[in-house]
Amino acid sequence: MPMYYFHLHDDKDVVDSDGTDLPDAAAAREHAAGVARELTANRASSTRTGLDGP
Amino acid sequence: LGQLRRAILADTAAKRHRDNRLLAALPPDTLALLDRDLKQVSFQQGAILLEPGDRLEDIYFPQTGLISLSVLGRDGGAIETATVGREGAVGLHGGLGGRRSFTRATTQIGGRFSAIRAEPFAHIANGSAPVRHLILCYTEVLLAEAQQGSACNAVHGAGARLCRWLLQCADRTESEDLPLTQEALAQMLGIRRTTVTLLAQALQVRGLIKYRRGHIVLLDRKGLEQCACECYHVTRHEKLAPALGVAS
Repeated sequence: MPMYYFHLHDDKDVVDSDGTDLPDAAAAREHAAGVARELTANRASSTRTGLDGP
Repeated sequence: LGQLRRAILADTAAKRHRDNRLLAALPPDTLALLDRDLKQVSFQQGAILLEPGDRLEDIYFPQTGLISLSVLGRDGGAIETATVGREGAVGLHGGLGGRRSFTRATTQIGGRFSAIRAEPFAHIANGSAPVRHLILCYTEVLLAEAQQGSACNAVHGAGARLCRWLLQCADRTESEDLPLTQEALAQMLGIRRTTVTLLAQALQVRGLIKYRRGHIVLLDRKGLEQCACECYHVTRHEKLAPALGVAS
């Protein structure tokens, strides 16, 4: 299986040093989309509980 | 001389039991009641202590190391729902008698544990208000933690959850050097390994952690706290128990 590296290019660049074994380019594209979803989901939300201190 | 040696060994064992914060919180005379039945055990990374549905026959109090509780998916995956280190215990409600485990309990970081059979523990709990109080308080704290955790998983970003998890893990093992692989972190956070790699790299570039194969070292706790969701502060046990009114 080929090894794919998923580097992140944002305001700063982050290098994927480890890589992932995936069957083909289509699987790699799907993996990249999944990673992008995980990185961006719920980034801005916050919870409040009765336990919040000052 | 043999007697002296036995006395010293017993003294060392008693000290080690107190490395667990729950056992240390018990009044000395209550801990003395448990002492005869408490055993010293150790588990390596990956050891499974309980499967869902298992009868709670032993109760484990981590002195070092970390246990991960997880719910199993149909596809064979395991989703972590709680971690237990020296602030807690696994299967404590076994002391109420005849209970079964809801989750799988896996040793995430190997270490030393105090263990007691559920039967004598239940017998002692039956006659000891402090032991029953401990079981109830810890159960309430775990419930609160699980509720916060379920909200956290639903609404907080992966980066904030990773920081929270690292800080919590460091607190619960009282070590800044965590022997964890990125695969293990990915599984515990329910995200892809690539996502963990990218998040860990970003934290490393900012000087908050140092990562090498199978180890993550926390370098800047304050910086990590700023990146973590508030769940880290909410679920710190030394804060959570008094906040719930169950400080023991």
